[in-house]
Amino acid sequence: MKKNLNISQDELLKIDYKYTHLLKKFTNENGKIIPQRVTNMPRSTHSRITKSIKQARFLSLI
Amino acid sequence: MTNIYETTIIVKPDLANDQMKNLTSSIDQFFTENSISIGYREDWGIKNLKFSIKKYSKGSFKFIRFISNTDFPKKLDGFLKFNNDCLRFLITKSTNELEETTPQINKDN
Repeated sequence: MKKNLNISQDELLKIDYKYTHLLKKFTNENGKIIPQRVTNMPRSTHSRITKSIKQARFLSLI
Repeated sequence: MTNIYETTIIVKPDLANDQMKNLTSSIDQFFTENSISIGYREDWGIKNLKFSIKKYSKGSFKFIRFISNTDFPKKLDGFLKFNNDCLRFLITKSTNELEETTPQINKDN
């Protein structure tokens, strides 16, 4: 099932580990990363998001 | 070749004011020794960590953005690695502008 995340294109372009409120939309309640087939993001965007989530986890932000 | 880099440092939350001043002055001194000026600085305050780091459940977050050549981040990595007051740090290449505010500064907790 495709998921509607309500994120603008500008927000997607500048997303990194500091934008924890946006990164939380790409994780489920257990903190796991939601797969690309569900979020329906381009491959480049999804890889950037996963990298940012892992950096935020390292700094204990999410 | 120069780039914009940014570093986020988690410092022990129970440091006294003098110790905190010493830490910030030592970081400043390290930047000046390598003739690099700090472009932008933020203090995110004491935040609850989502999991404990070295038995600390809270951490004081510092954020620095600077322009440097490609060698300096490795030197900074070596400097912060052996600092006992620093719990954890992350140095990344920045995609933002030098004096752009971060969303973390307005966040509580």
